[in-house]
Amino acid sequence: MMRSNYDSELTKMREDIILMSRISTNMFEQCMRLFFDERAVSIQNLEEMKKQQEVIEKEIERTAAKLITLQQPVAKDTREIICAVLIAADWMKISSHITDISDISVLCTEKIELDSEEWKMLRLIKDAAEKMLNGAAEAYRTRNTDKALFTAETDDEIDRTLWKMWNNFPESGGGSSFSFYPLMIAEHIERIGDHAANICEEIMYLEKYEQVRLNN
Amino acid sequence: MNATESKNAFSYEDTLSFENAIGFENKYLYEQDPAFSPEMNRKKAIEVKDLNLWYGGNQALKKIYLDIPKNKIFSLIGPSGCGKSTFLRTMNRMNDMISNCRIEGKVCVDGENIYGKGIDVTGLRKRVGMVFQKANPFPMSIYENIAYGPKIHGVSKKEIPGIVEESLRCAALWDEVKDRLKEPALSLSGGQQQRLCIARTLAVKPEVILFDEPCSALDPISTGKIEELMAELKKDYTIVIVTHNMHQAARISDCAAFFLSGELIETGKTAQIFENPQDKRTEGYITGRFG
Repeated sequence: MMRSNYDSELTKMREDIILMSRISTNMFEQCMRLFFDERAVSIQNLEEMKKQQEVIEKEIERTAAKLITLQQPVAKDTREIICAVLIAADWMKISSHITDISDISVLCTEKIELDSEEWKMLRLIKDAAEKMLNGAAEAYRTRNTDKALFTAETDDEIDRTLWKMWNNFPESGGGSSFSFYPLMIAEHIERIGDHAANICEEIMYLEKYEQVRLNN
Repeated sequence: MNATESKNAFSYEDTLSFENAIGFENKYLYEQDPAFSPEMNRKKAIEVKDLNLWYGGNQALKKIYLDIPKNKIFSLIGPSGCGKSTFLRTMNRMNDMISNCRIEGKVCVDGENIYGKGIDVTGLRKRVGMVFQKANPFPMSIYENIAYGPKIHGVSKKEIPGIVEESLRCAALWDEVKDRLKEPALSLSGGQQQRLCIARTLAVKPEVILFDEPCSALDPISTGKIEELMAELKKDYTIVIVTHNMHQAARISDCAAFFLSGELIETGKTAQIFENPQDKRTEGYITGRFG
């Protein structure tokens, strides 16, 4: 009976992580629409989703503390609990970056020139980050370490593109045609990619007991 | 070998490199590489080779191969009836007292097969001491409890007081009992009685100390004292402990072995066994999902 409660609490914690991953990927998709699809997306909605994430993260932390104290887990159970806390924190930080991006949309009053070079590069970064978020979520759900490794590789793509964007940034501090907003957004997306890579590292530790560095 | 010789013989780094060299994960080491160097053999306190044990028609231990390194705490874990206490008792031939017990294979203490011909069992039990689950002080004074062993092993009378004090100090009991050595040992608390039994074991200068669930009847404070004591003692002695307390095994031991139905399922460094066991049965047991 005791062990079945323990197992069900571990299962609930896994399900909560999966729920957090769904919320974050959904938030990212909605947030990017603000800029690229010109569809009306409620920033309020994103804030509410972030608050929902905070509640789930707290619940995961509370369950983890309880399981460690009362059940004294060992072996894979310990990793399961440690990784749940770490992964929840990464999804939470991803959500925070997404709401920060949505705040930029309020500041961005200029007309968005989607054909401009910087917006094109931002779209590349956005697509790569979307791929990473979905990949990290799936890798955790299916406990697929190959998927985790493959997903983390995309982080380099984001870093390279961001580097290019910085190189294109006019030395004078911005020419008349240059928009600073894509760079601000890209910085946040790059951090989102880092957190997705962290999640992939945590999946490697959880499943393979290997501490690998995927976030370079 | 006395405590000082044992302490000075090998450094901690030597022992680590030895562990790396032989890899305790490999329980069939001898089948693969029977030609160990004398240097390596010197660092093994106990070597068990192809050990089988029967109680009548019931085989309680099956083909056990295991090395126990010197100056380490080695825990034996497994569910009740798995053979871990039986295995512990093979190391000082306590099973000899069971009439229908039959043993095959080798148990070498410091290189000598204790089941070989001409072994002095009393001498063996001096070299391999044992502390039991329930503290069992003799119904005599604290002092006499400690002095008893050295006396029957022929230690001169003038040496006895020094041995008593040293043993009680080593067992972290001296400060608590130095003013009442003539009082009955049974007047001590449960935890103190257990440390007295450890001091009694130390008094005859063993090489190895076997602990059979030494803390199962003790409160957490007394348990903590015994665990700290074991950590101190391993500098001078090799310790083998049977425990049902998984967290005690994880806390105090350097190496661990998991037994199931008389078989040695997995052995290795404690961190390895408790963080990432290789066998599903070990994982099932230590996480409390079977056993």
